[in-house]
Order: sequence, then structure tokens, then C-alpha cells
Amino acid sequence: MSARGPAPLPPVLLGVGAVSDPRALARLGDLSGIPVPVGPVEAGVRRARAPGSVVHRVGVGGLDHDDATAVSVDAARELLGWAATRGLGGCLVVRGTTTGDLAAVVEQVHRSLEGDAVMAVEVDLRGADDQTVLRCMSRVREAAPRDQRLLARVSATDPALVACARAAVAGGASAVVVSGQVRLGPRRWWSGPSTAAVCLAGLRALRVAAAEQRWPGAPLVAAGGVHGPAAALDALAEGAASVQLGSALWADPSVLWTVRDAVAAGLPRAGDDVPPTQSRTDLAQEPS
Amino acid sequence: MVGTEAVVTSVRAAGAHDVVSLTVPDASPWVHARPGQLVAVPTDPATGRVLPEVHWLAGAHVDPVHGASVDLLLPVQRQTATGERVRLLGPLGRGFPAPSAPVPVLLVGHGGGAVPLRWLVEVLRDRGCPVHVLLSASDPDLHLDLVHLRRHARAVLLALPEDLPATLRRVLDDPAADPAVVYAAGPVPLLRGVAEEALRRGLPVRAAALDLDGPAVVCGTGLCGACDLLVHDDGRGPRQAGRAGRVLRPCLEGPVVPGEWLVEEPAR
Repeated sequence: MSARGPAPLPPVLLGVGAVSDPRALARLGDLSGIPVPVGPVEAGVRRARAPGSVVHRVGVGGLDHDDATAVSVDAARELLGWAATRGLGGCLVVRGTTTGDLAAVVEQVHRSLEGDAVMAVEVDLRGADDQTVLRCMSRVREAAPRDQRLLARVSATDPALVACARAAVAGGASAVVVSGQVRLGPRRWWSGPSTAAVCLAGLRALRVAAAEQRWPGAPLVAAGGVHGPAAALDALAEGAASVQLGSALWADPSVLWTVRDAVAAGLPRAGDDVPPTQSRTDLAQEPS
Repeated sequence: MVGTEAVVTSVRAAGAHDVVSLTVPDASPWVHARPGQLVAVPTDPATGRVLPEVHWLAGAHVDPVHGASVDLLLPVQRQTATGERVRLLGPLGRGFPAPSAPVPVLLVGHGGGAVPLRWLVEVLRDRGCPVHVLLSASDPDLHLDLVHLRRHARAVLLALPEDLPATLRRVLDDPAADPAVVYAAGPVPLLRGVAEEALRRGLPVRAAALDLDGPAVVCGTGLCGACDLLVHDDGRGPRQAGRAGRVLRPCLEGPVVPGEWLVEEPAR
């Protein structure tokens, strides 16, 4: 598999915590080409429907909220079936405490009729150390079809960000999602436009580390603080290949389509020889 | 659906609210708008705000000569000014269905949550329904645009929140009112109480099960699910004893729902 993965990433992905029911988004506009977020799925969970988000406090530039609550494999299959009947694909988000749990979920979904609708699998590895990231991604890679796009979600605030990204790619991740969410406590996060700087710092750290060959590089997804086309283009300039929208959709769902168009216009065209973690501006600025 | 750029054309004070009229350039989304639907006003992240404003639609009028206008009831503190440009996403959700025949109806609401009733009373009057309105509020200023309501309703009764259940029973049993349908809007505990009383008398109930004054509403579009509500209908046909309830997302599946969904065991 090449560093870019089996196929180009969609320009825009959706955060699973912010879109707990994609049917609400589908009534507002066309979702073709945008993977529908499905999950987070955890082995052993029997919840049939994603419960609503819990927001504890709204502050300037962000909000304090709980992590998305996990749902069952059956709930994920139902949502994938809904997406498939509309010609859409899904991004299956998996979480788990053991590598076996992660793999079991991926295997169950892929063996089902709805498995073909899975466009990508995102493994939530925020807070995990690099060895755990390596084991989890390796196990999920074994469980997933060979051409399945695998995304590893890591935290931009993690001091071992580069090591985690390296482990994710070594384990078979085809892209790394750089989450700008700030941890406020167990399963509690701060999200919003104020996290843009955190996300951009994470992207920059990975881009520099790739240039120094401290990790092999992979397409990066900016997940944090992307609340409009300008923020999305900033993320692209820092080396992101695509962006993930979350709480921005609560403020204004139509931002999905404006950001999608902006990112599609701002991305290098196929055939351009730009390394996945380097932007064009950097190529112009870096000394030879 | 894309947002509509609306312009505020008039602001009229009504107690703790401003009745705000806006002109919208495209009439087509508003032709079939109903009382009980919502509009979301997206926010600019540059202002530091991360959540949209969500308001009840308080009126929508489409005129082939003068164009389309939309009414909203906004809090006075918002300081809405004439000429202000407001981006509207909507109309969202399922509104109140009007009765097929001109029958007497009772509208029950509480405080600012009763905004959808302001337009509903106008629509019902146009259909020839005699309308009785029962409103509760803890502060007289929070009663909704009473001049407008009194213009269209046969009777407007005001009550304190603690007196509302007794007043409701009296109106339901009053032969002069004799309501055939009950519409309600306000906090969910109030709606459950209204639904119980009305269903006990065999009256159909439709309730706007979303409390925009409460802390639960985050996005207004059904994405976040913060407004999720446990209802006693499992979506599998007529209800039977022993069936579990289900979670309803009012922003997506409502906000107007049958009263039967809000009570545990409807008396029929």
C-alpha cells in the first residue's frame, strides 16, 4: 500500500460526536461523497441508537461536552443500511479497551450485508501510547479487508504525537486524524473554533517530523476548529489532506457544503507531486 | 436546504419579547410553513459563539405582490434592530396539523414556550375554529403578545404555573368551551400533564415537544440530539402493554408529536 492509501480521502469527513443522527443532515443537503459517520461502536454495547450529546457548558469559542456514547454493532449496521440505500457510504468509528474488541467490531460489520457500505474505518486512539496504537491498528488491519481505508485518530495535545502517528502507520493506518479537542477529564472534551490552533500545531508537528523522516508520513485529517472555509484552508496549508467537521455543524450545518467546495478547490490535483504531509507553500519556502 | 438571507423590516415590543418581521427573498420554502416549525439562525465563529439561535416560527406570510415575510418572537435582550440582516435556516421540523373540520380547539402554553400558539391561533381562526387559549407564566411580562391572541381567540385565560392544572381541568369540562382538539406548547412536564388530562377525556392532543427556553436545545437541526426525549411509543403500530418506549428526537421527528407519545398509559 502506498503512503497515500488505497484511494484519495474524501475532502470532508464528519465527526461522529457532532452528527449523532446523519438523517438530520441528509434533509439539509446532498451528502454524496461525504462518508456518513457511524458509531462510535464498541464490542459488548447493546444500545440501539446513538443518544444525544451532553453539553455541560458553552464558553467563548467552544463548549465542554461528553464524549460520544457508544452504540451496538446492530445500530451501526442499521445506519450503514440506511446510507447504502441512498447511495452513500459510511465511516465506521470504533472504540475499545482491547485490540480484540476493536477487531471483533470491524469483523462483525464487514461480514454483514451492510459491510460493503463502509468507506473507511476510524479507530479512536486518543490517549493511547504508541505501543497500544501499534497493536490496535495492526489488529484492525488484519480484521479489515485489504483495501479498506483505515484512519487512526490521535490527539494533537499528546506529547508523543509523532510516535503515535508513526505507530499508526506501522500498524496499517492509511491516514491520521489529528484531533484538536482538549481533554477536560475522563470522557470529557472541549471542542469548538478555539481548538483550531491546537489542531494546526499538531499538523505542523507531524509535517516537520515527516520532513525530518521521524515518521513515514501519511495523509492527515484536521479535526478541530474547522468552522469555515478559511479555517479549512489554513489546515490544508499546514499539510492536511482533508478536514473533519464537528461542532461547526451545530453552529451552521450549511458550512459542510461551503467547506467541501473550498477544500476541493484548495487541494492539489491528482498527479501533482506533493508529499502527503507537505503543502505547496512549504515546498516553496523550504531550502533545497 | 441553504440559508435564507432575511432583512428585519419591523420590530414591535410585546412584553419580554420583540415581534420581529423579516422579509425573505425566496418565498418557496415558506409557502407550506406551519405553526410549530423552527428556524435556526447560524452563528459566525469569529464572534466567539459556537451555537446557533433557535426560534419558533411565529408567522409566515406569502403574498404575490409584497413577497414573503416571516415573523419571529425574539427576546428583548437580543436588541434586534430594523435593517439587520439575519440568516435563517428553515422552516425546520413538523408543525401543528390543522383539524380537517372547524371544531372548537383549546391551546395551552407556558411562557415563551407558547410562541407557536401565537400563529396557530391565527391559522385556526381562519379555518373557522373557535379558539380558547390558556396560558401560564410566572411573570406577567412573559405572557405572549396578548393583544394579538385576544384579537383572534374567543377567550384567553391566564394562570400562574401552579394554578394551570386546575384551570385546564375547568376549561376542558366547561360546556361553553367544549374543545374537540387540544394543542399544547411549553416545557415537557407541562405537556405531559396536558396530554394526560385531555386524553382522559378522549380528546386528541398535539404537542410541540421542544422547550427552547430550556438547556436541552443545542443545534435545533437534529444533529446533536441534546433534545432527545423518552416517549411511550415504539413505532410498531398500536401500543400494547409491556412494550418499551423509545427515544424521540423532537428537532428531527417533531417537534409536534401526538399527545399519546408523552403519557405512560393513555386512558381511552
